[in-house]
Amino acid sequence: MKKTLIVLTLISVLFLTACSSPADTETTPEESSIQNISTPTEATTSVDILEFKFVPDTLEINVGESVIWEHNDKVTHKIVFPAFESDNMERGDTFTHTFDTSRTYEYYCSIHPTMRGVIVVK
Amino acid sequence: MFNPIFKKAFLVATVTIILDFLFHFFLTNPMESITYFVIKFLLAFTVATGLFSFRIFTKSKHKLLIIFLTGLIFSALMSIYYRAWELGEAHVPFGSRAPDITGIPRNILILFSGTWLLGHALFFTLGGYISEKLFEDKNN
Repeated sequence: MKKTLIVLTLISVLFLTACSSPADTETTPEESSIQNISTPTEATTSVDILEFKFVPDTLEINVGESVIWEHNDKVTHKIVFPAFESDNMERGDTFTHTFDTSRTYEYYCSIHPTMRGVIVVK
Repeated sequence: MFNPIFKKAFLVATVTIILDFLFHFFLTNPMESITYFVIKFLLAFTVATGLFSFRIFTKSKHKLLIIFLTGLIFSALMSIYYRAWELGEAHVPFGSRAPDITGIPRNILILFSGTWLLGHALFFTLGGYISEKLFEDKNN
């Protein structure tokens, strides 16, 4: 019993050590840690999907403007609004929607429900 | 008031979920949904109930090993649920749903999947060990 416990403890320590070692990951663009709200310019009516986040997570646009979601992440995502949704998106895919009604739209990724965003249409 | 097996299984499930939550919180991204943790709790409880009900376990001298093997079964069942959801409901590639793990490259599938499998099994094992010790001490 004691030997088995020691072996399991060693496995746990190795496991936790492996998990805390520096990641060999792709370089990602720097992001602000503060929740970012973007007001529209020609360059900011797009939302980047990266590192399981929508960047910016809150975007303000005017009625009639379009938003382009650009998938730059490693895994499949799917954008879901109450009234419409995208197809499953892979890296490199885009999804565009034109917002014709002034209101606040909340959306999320149906595959990773903690990924959430807001489009504020003025 | 409650059956001892129920109490032991409840403790196993509770410890498993606490450890799993801490792992997800500190070492993975994004965080999992509440539904995920609820399902995992129920599965851990069910598996632990089955474990403590078996005579092979109650009579065995290698209880910790049996708990660990049961933990692997629990972990495998959780993975099956995940993959079934990915393939059957969401129609997304294998592994799409799983969060990133700090320090574990996602593209080395055996390492990535193996970490999830072994991690969940270890959480269950620790829960089982604590449960056995606690109720063993109470019986003494």
